[in-house]
Amino acid sequence: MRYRGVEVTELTTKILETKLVYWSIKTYTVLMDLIVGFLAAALVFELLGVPLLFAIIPGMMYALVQLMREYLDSSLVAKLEGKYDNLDQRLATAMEYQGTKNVIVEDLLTDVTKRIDNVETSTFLNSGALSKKVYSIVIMSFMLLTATVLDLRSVAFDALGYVMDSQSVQNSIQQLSDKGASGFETLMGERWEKSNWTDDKTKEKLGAQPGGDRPGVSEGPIPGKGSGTGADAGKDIYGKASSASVQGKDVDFRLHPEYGGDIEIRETSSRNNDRLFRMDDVQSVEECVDCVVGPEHEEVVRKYFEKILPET
Amino acid sequence: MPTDSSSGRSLWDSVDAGAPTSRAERDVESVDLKKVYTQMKTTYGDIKKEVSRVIVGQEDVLEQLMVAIFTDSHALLEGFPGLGKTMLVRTIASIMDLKFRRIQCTPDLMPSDVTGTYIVEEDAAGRKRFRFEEGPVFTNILLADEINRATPKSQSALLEAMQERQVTMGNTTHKLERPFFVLATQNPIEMEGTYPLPEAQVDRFLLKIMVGYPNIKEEDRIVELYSGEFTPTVSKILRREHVLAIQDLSKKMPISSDVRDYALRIVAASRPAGKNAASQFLDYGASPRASIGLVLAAKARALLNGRNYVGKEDVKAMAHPVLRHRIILNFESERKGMSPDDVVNQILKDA
Repeated sequence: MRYRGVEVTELTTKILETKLVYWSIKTYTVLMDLIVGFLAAALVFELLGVPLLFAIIPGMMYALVQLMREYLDSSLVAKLEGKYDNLDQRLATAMEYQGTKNVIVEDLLTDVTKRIDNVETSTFLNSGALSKKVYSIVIMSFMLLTATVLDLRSVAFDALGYVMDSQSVQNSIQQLSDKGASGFETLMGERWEKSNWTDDKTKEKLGAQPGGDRPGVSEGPIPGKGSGTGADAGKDIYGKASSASVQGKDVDFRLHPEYGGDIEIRETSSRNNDRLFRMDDVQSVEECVDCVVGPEHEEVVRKYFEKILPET
Repeated sequence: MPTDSSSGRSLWDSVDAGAPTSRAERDVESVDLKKVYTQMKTTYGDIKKEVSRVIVGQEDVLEQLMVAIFTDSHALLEGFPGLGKTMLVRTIASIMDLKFRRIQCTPDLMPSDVTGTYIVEEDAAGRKRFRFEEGPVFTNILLADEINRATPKSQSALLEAMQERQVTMGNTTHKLERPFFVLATQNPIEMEGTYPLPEAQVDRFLLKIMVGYPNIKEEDRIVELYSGEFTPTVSKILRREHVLAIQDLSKKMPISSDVRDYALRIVAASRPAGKNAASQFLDYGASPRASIGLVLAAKARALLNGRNYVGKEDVKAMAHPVLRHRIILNFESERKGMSPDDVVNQILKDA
């Protein structure tokens, strides 16, 4: 039988079969390379927020490079030669002498056909490299799935935010800010504010301090009203009238007019309308029907008012 | 007659006894070529074994001699006296069921001593007539010992027979029987009174085989072998038909164009051209006869080793014996004390 001018013998059939196996394995390897490249690129793209579909481009490029390397590295015959002694010379001779009626040539054809039959598929496989690729695919797939399901990118930014918000970091920033003299540091914090004082009045009203009315990084949650940021921030200084933050703890309190003295309360609407409350105006404990100051808080409340009303 | 089927001598029985043996072609047809081929490696192993009973070592020399015989060619053995050249040839002749003759070449050797001559014979009726008396050349294996001691005229008579495989006396041409090969020896010393073979005549030998000294171990074995009580003998292994069949098989040996190109590149590299090694060390390179010889020798070597293809290693292995007597060193290489083998090594590198 002849096909495209070539006598199709058992040998040519075997060679075609071997070539088919060889190229199947090559295709498989290229696919693996494509997946490895895709996964590696996808991981990076996931963190950068780039759509994963674009990862196919670097994946294909990687597979192409690997394919070129394989192609340039060796041919089918060279691969066979590496493992099967002189098979290339036998094969070349057998191919040239196909169809020759000769006892030696017939023996050669049978011999080469048998040898090709015995060529193991593993000859074309670099098992070490393939294992590495499979492991890489498994690991990177797992990483990509984890990153996608857990929204690793948000978690990462949240974690960054958490770190930035933590008290120790804040303290460190504060320290750096106090000590530092870099351009960046001078743009924030008390030093910056001080550098922007325009008169004596504003001197006392730092954004970070109660009553501060200038915008600043250390300004409190209400612009111009100070009280700082972080754990010491007076988060609810205008919240419930019967609570106060003492040493970082919110405690209920009740004013005791019998102790006398004045309490200055500043209004948010106008800093010029500060009012003085006479203690006489305040309901005493005895008068308070709903007074539920626990005995454990009484001492704390007392000390609080002692502090703010030293004359009493 | 050897009949041991475990050895290559089982070939002995593969000849159809009833087959006509008058012509070489018919002889080849009477032999089961497939059997000869499949047992080739074993046969060569048996030859080596038999030869080793008489000759110690010299395996390369034996291989090259067998290559010459199986390519239906002639070989020139060169080596110092006492190295067993003559004995090796005699032993090889002994293991083959072939006619063997020997000529001891001397300056007074006449061409008729080689080819034969007409002698006057008187029959019963008293009538005288010329009868051709065949010379020693009418044989299968001819050992021309110390060929360089024969005069050029006698050498020419022998070399004509080698080339034409026939002898012409007067108006009659006498064909030499196949197989016919000449194994000539010469030694490189005592050159006084010798007639070195001209290059054109040396070219007729397919191989020039260098016989070297044995090593200590081999020499110890030689001394033990030949200083004892018994003289070693050998058995016949190959019939004439087998030799012809093997010669036929060696021509059938397939060789890929790649390997053939390699052989041609080697021979081409032996010709001075450009800046190759040959132009540096040689006056003249090898002829196309060398290309034919190299491919033939490589084929026979592959067959001897039981392979079914000719490899580059066969070509490389035969490059030295094929080329060393076909290249002519120039003054530069002689000044440097280079041998033809050194130059062949350079040529192989070039190729």
